Amino acid sequence: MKRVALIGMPNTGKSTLFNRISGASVKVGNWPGVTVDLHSVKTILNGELVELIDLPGIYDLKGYSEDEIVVQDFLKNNQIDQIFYILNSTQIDRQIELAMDLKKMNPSIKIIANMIDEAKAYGITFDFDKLQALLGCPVIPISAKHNQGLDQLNKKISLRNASDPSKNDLKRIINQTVFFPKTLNNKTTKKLDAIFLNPVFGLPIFLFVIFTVFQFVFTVGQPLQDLMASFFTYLEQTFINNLLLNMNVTLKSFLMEGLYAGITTVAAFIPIIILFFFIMTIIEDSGYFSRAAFLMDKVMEKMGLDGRAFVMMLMGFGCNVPALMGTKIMRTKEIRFLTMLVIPFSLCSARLQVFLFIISAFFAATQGAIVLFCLYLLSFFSIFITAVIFKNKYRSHEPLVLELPPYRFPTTKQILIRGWQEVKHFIDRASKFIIIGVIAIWALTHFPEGLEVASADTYAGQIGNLFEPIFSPLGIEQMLIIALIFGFIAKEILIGAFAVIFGLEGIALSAHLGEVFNAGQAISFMIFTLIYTPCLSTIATLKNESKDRLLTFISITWSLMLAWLLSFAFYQLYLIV
Amino acid sequence: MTLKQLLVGQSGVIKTLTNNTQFNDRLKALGVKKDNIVEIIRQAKFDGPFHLKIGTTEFMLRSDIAAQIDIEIITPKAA
Repeated sequence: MKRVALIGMPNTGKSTLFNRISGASVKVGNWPGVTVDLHSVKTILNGELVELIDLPGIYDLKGYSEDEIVVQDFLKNNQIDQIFYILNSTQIDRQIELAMDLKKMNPSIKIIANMIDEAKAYGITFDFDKLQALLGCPVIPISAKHNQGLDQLNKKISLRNASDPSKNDLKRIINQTVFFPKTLNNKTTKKLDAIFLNPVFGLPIFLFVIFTVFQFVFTVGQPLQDLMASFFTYLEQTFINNLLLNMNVTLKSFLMEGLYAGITTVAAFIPIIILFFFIMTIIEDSGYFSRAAFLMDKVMEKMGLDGRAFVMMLMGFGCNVPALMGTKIMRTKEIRFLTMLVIPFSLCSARLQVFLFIISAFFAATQGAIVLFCLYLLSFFSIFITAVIFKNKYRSHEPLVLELPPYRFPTTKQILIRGWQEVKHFIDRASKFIIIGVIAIWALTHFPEGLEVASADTYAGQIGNLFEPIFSPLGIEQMLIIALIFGFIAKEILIGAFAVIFGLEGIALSAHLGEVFNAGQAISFMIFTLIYTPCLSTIATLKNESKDRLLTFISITWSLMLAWLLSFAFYQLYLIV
Repeated sequence: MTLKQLLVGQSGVIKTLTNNTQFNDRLKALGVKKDNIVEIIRQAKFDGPFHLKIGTTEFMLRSDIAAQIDIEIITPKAA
């Protein structure tokens, strides 16, 4: 089968075109000489069945960025029959050069002039017949977003072979065939920029947008998560329990509290991820994302990060998992890794639930609000200190030049496809790790056999005992250490873990906690909970997105260390005062 | 003069780029190359990045890089 490589610069609508062609039938696979997985699809092009491979967006062929190396390695190590070079029609004058560089490597190239609708709206006109004759390769105007002209990709076009134009020729050719108006018709973008990039109001507007996003994700997501939870409970009570009726108790416990709990943990993230990426797609594709990056860049630069890291960090305050997944738009490995290292310190909604429960058990309303506010401050502080400490290890050597594309609104189809793709990606990559983790914790709290679940003599209790000398200076006792072990899976289950450990629920549990622990212990426990590993899903995502064991290791150990240090500092101070 | 010295709303013709060839390749891909005209649309607060325009492409560039790019100012006509 013939192979066709889809190549183009960033922001040319390459993924939109690939998604149009592939629909849902994408294959993810390894290619010789390339370290990352590439998407490919079997489809009819030029009237025959071919394999179309989607390569990462690149600026040039000499480049040194991760993506550019991937493309270079791919082209070096794989036989390619044809190149589809996609460009943004409105920027054809600067993007055509790369096409000619590629043409030298592989003369069988088709140029796809995408976003032709936008170019027309700008008032740019083209003489495509003349252009393709002068370039010696087909140039096909399309709009991938609006599904226009895609049938032309299927046509065989034969042209007389023209000699490769030099760079100066190229300029002349573009001048003869592409006609730019004196002033571009881009009033909308200009007007919106005047608002969104306003020196005074730009940032407040951005924070308001993010706040609205959170509100949306959680007002819509929470009921969906609850619905999902009741569905799983229903399934358990009506079907599974009957099925397991006569089963050995331990095996049943393994299946339900280990395996089934693992699956439901994965499932709980699905609504949030879908909703997050619906919104992310809108923010990203609209071009607003790079505007936010523009506003925050100066502050973030001091921390060794950039404006995009700020946006992902804020997303992390909703949920760390999609925020980590979202870092893939940052194409520089170092900045991406540093961002991944700081995101887990963002106080996510799951931790917020735990804090609200504990705070209500120990503090009056006004006091509680102050405690919560301080936890948010601590979250920012942890992000800051982590970035400052690790910014030399993950120092980027690439200049930050970020395109500020015109404002666009993605189509519903684009939004839906993205949400679906990200969920699939999460399930493919993270589910195994999460389920194994949940089973491991199940084993620790249920063995040796015959003991009460999560009691002092179980393996979890023994670990708690073992670590007690380390945790007692923090005011965290054996029972709370067991809770922290549970908290490793997900923060949402911490409260459930308390219930299991103390055998109480709801108000009785919160009253009991208030009796056995003092306020200092409660705060110390919350500080530790805030900073140590957020949850198994976060670790799984960080590991799979970065594909870097060292980073995963650093993330876990550093957060444990920092959690210990800050809890220690707080609790000792508390004891003195 | 350098690109950084241009004021918002002013344009200049690019003369020389930075002395880092790798940087320059990336800049060229965005249209930052000799003889092209660059316009400063705005700058973020506290010496933040510049919002620049070359042809139909708009992008942001940090001010330390802008300080390394030499340009020749285009004086506005009928000033």
